[in-house]
Amino acid sequence: MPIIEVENLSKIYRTQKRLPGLGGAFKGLFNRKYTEVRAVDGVSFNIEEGELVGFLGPNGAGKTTTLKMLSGILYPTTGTAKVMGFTPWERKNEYRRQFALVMGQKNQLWWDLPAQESLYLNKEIYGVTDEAYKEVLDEMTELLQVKKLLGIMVRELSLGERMKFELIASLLHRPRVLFMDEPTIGLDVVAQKNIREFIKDYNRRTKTTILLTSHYMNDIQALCERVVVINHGKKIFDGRLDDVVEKFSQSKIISVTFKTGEITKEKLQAMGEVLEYTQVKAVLKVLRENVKKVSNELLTGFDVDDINIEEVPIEEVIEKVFKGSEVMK
Amino acid sequence: MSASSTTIQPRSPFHKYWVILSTRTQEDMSYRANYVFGAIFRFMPLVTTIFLWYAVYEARKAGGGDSSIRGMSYEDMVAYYALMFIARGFSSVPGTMTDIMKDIKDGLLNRYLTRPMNYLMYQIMYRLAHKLVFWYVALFTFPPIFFLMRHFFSHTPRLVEVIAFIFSLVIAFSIGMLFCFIIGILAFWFLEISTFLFVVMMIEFFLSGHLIPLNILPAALQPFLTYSPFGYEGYWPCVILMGKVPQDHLPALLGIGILWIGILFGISQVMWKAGLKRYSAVGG
Amino acid sequence: MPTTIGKYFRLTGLMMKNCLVREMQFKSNFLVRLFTEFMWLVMQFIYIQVMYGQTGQIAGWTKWDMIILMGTNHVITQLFEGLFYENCTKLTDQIRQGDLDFNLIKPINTQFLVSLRYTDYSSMANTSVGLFIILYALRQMGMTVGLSGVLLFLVLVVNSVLIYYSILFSLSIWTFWIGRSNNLMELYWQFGQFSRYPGDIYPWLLRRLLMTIIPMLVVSNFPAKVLIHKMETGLVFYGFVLGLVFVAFTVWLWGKGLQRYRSASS
Repeated sequence: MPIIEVENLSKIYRTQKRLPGLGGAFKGLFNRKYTEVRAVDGVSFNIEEGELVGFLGPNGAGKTTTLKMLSGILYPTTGTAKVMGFTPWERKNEYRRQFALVMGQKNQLWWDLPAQESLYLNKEIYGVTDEAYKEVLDEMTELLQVKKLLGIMVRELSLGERMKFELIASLLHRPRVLFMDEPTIGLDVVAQKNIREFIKDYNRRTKTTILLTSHYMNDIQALCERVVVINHGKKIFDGRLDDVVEKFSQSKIISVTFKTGEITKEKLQAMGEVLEYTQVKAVLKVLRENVKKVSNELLTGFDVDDINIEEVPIEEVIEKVFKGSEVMK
Repeated sequence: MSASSTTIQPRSPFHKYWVILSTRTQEDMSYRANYVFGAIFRFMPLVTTIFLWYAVYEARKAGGGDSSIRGMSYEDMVAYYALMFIARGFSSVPGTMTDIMKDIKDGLLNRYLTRPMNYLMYQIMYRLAHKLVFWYVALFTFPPIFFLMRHFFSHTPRLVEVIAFIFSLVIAFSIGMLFCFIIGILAFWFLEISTFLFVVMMIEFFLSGHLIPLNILPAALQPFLTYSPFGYEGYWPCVILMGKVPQDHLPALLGIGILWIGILFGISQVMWKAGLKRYSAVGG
Repeated sequence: MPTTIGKYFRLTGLMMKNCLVREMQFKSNFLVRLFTEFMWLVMQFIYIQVMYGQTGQIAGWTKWDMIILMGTNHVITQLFEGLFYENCTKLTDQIRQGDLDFNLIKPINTQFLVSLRYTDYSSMANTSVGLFIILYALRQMGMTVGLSGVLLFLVLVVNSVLIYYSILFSLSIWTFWIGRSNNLMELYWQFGQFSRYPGDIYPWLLRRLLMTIIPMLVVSNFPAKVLIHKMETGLVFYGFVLGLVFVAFTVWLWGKGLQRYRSASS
């Protein structure tokens, strides 16, 4: 049985339409108009225990809103969701003791206190025993290399250090399900890598189910085998990360090196889009259905030293998908 | 004469201030419920005042005492507190001191200094915007409330009193604004000044006659109390409209008010210049 | 059950400790706020002084009766401000800016968490000024209060603080519906006005109103009347029932409001 089951989940916001100018503002005082925004529009998916799933989509696609509904922060407009058998927005204590939410853009640590005070407060709130607390704290501060920073005011920590403590604060009670919303946002490359590795390792060791959003493709590529892609509130893809490319990109990349420089650019252009061209090396972007034909042509017609067929880089594909290209429907 | 003598034609020197005013107003308006809410509940203290002073006057009469206190009947007393809402509606500019302090302390002042506008002028326009919204809403809330209270106003003001009243409101706003500005720019010198703001506001609340009519305070203190700049923020506009000031005293009275504006303006300019020097020396 | 209650008390203690640590970093702030509240008392005292300069009693209340009322009101408002006020005002921002998220996912009553997070120690300290005023006035009057009176007074004070809390908390979570409510502070001052004076000065209808929907008289007059031996037993019961109703309403409204929470991202 899946640990997370989401069925037809929707969230519709009503926002006030503002009339322009000073006159409009005065009018707005008595007469308001509203517009509906479908932040999440009929999304369904299942996640099995222990999976690490990436949630992909451009800004405002509805990723965060979905995570917040699964955390019980927001009530859905329609649809159902079960996490570990609980309906999240009922906010049962039993449910809340078993999951955690990490948000890169919001913090739960007390600003004017050392991080350890906030951690201890969380320990008490979650009812973690003294031994368990000590064990988790030792382990995590060791792994994330922040043991020495426990006594420093949170406001004096760097963003990366703060994020590490946010992570620890969320994992103290050893949640079975972990939601992460942009956990690496704004961090420098090193801190990003640290956190990424930590998440991967944590998922492998503890079999914690993780659902993660990030707009850094690096994060997703390093962490997730499976991704759910959502755009304009609708799910447009659910499957292996590699398959995203297959589904949304009609082209492949062929790189060839020649023993002799006999081929002209014109000949190559007839086969596909030329991305790179020198006397002995060329990179081509070729439509999927033509790949076989083109590689045959190359191998038989020219003196090929090496040939390599690759998928289009995932960032490029995803970017295209987000831009709302024709492949969506 | 230079070759290209094209200059950017400003729509009017005041256009930029109008833009500030209009944008601020729009921001304020978008929170409708709050404004209506606030505008109605503003009058709540009047209810207590009406009944509390009624009890005081009744107890006085029952004890065989005079039915007026220092020339103020019960009706006068209530009318005074009601008119105070109008006077303070002009002279109190909430948030001004804190905003100015914030601008100075957080270095935001640079934003204004680099632009071709006067900071005091900017603040005045900004607050006028607030006042505009305030009075727009008040247009709907004040008349019914004053109509309900009409029998407390036993004096029908003469034209000259109305004119003096309007004049005194302009003075009230100017003094209120300048006072806030002066306190606000104290932040150039004192770091922790913002914590004293409440004390300052309380003093203003008391000295303007908002809490207690200045004329029923001990007689020995009255010249100092009434003719202080604070007296013009509340006490004088009220008693002028109530007809308690002899007509021939009005010009001198308003003259002193204008004198105070001049003095406060002078102080503010001297302080502003000295403050700026200090500001740039420290590095803002 | 007892362990749950114990947990909540422990958490309250922990949050108060955290606030104390925080407060220690801003000592001058603490002193200034202490002074501000004191000034406010002085102004109220002048007001009372001026009124009683005109007459010996107001609606059957002597000057010292009135000062006891002032002291009682001070104790209650300061206790309320110390424990809840900052939380209520911060709450409107938290709702608007979407900062409730982490409170909502904790396995503990969310209302408890957001209501008691911040403690204002200067107000807590000011409570003692109120108590001092009460004791001084009682001495001036030559009055004594028995042990049962003191206990009843204290329980009523707690009840009043909870009523204040319910009203302000309900007002601040209006933000769920109207988007902003920064007139909260003003409303608090304006409602508070009614609790500063004896209910006897108000006409019948207003007095009923102030005993029920806006129970400002229950809040201050009831405990004060216990001290000056003017309290009726029936009213004591009424006061507690009212407190219960208000707290229950707040809990209900909070649940309704959360359904409208938008969790805006900054």
